[in-house]
Amino acid sequence: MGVLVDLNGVSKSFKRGGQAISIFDGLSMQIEDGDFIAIMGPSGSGKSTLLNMLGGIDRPSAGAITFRDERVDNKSEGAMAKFRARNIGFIFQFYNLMPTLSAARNVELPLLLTKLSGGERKKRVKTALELVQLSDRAHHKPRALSGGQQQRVAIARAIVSDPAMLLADEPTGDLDRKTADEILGLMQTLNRSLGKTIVMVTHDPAAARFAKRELHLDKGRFEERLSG
Amino acid sequence: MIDDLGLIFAGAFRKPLRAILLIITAMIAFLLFGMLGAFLSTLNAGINLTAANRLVVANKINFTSDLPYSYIARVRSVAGVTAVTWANWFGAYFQEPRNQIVTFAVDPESYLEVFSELQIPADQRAAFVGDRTGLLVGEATATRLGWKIGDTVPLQSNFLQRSDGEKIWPLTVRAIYTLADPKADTSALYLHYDYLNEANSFGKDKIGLMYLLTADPAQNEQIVRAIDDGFSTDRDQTATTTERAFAQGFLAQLGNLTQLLTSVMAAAFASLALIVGNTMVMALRERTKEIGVMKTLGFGAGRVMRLVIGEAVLLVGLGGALGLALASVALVGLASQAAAFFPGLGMSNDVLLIGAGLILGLGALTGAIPGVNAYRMRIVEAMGKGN
Ligand SMILES: Nc1ncnc2c1ncn2[C@@H]1O[C@H](COP(=O)(O)OP(=O)(O)OP(=O)(O)O)[C@@H](O)[C@H]1O
Ligand SMILES: [Mg+2]
Repeated sequence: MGVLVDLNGVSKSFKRGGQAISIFDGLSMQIEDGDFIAIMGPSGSGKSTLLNMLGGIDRPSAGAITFRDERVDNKSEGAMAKFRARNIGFIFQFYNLMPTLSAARNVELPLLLTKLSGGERKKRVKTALELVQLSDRAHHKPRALSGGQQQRVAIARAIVSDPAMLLADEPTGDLDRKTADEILGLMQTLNRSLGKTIVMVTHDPAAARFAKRELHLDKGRFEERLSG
Repeated sequence: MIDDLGLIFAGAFRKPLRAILLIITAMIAFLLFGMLGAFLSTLNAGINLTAANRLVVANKINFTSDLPYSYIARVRSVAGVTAVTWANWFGAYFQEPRNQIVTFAVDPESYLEVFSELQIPADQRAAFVGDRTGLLVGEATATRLGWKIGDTVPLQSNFLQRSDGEKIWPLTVRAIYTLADPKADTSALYLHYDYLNEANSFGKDKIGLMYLLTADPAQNEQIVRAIDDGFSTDRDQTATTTERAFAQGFLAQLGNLTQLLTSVMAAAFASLALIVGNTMVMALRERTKEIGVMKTLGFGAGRVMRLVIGEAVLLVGLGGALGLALASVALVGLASQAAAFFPGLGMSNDVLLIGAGLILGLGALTGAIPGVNAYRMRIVEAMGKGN
């Protein structure tokens, strides 16, 4: 198991009202290939900001982020977009499916960024929907699906292009306990049988227990607890 | 790009009612454009056909008042005039008054000399000239009504009565003419002036308009003065102009139509651009988060911008295509009814081409602001708090 992501001395500050507010100052961490990390911490501690930097959506103010020996923090916007398409699957709290597209077309979206043929795309979409057990809902629009079903579609969309890492920001924050556990179980399966590296932000200690390790972020620092 | 069409379609029809209203708005604007454009290009086509050395002599009161027959010889004697002919408005209709056909009574030999652009096979020409009740038919009308050489066609006039009380003027199709310019109008009919003059119940030995050729366009001005001065002390005075000025003056009489129609169209397109542009900006604002998601998934800024512009082009394009198609259909229906005033009225390729350009231009213009907004939108800001 090698290192998938390396954060080295990463700082991040935001300007607010002419004043710079520092979120992290010299944060370092490594994410192993095949890891499943739960990040917890108080509101405003910078969990989402960290996830955005890991996923190539936001850039650190200083320091380096390396993904498989490839610097991502200093890429151009276009190269960042390509990096995200190739390597990262995103799962959001509010699913963020396109309301006008069917489940299958939503799952297909990331494949429109590849050179795959229409037939090949259809096959992959089918496989991904089977994996999240939603084949029978392929032609439903998001509004005809429950929250848990929408999140499954979102997970199918996140894995359809076979990225190495999944980033999930409070993926069960909008779901009831039972549905949340189903989604977390699905993510655990993706981690264990498909080897997807997962970084998940959550406020829910019960959700964090599905991960291999838990990191607590507070005042710009990590504190590790091994998950049981 | 083919794959993106599905996304463009889904985005454009996200709110179906809004999309349909936009399409209807564009459709109305392009329907107006298609109709007015066809009228303008028909009118202008007439002007482009005029010859530089051809002059028109009309009654000074207005061009619908007639002139004495004796004027022909007097005009012929003016220095620099090489040929003179004349034409009387016949105001024909075929079977029913709504089937109007532009028809003139002319002196065959001199008319075909002055209007040498009319192309007629030699045998047909001789047959027409030699038959007092012969009819010279434009190719367009012959095709439209299925008339062939030798057919007898009963024409009626809106205002001319035969002295024997009959309303119908029996005529025999003796010749069919064409014009070299494919866009030129070939709907008019010509019959013999002598036939009209003898059988007509009133206004004998009156002529409508005189047409003449000058030896050289440079002499036109001088000849115009010589003719009009020559009749200045007669009861019927003349107004002589070049054929081109006459055609343009005819348009001017319609109230500076070109300018009016052009400003109507410009106003229609300006409001279309405002309505569509504003709606697209609002529609995009509702979808800020979706744009953020697309970009998160790895869609590049340029591609997202093209999708947004594509939606505007799609909506304007659907409306525009519908409008132009409706205009084409409406023009087919109008053409026969308006044949007397706008011969050759119909959708032209020029108008369609300009229409297609306008669709692309307006689509790009109205999609540009939301498109650039989408291009610039930063993911972290688009997604906001609580993804
Ligand atoms: N674009 C921005 N501009 C200015 N300040 C920002 C921006 N994004 C985040 N912040 C600030 O950075 C801090 C960390 O924000 P972040 O969203 O990462 O916190 P979080 O740990 O995800 O919180 P929560 O648990 O509420 O989601 C907060 O104080 C937030 O206000
Ligand atoms: Mg957060």
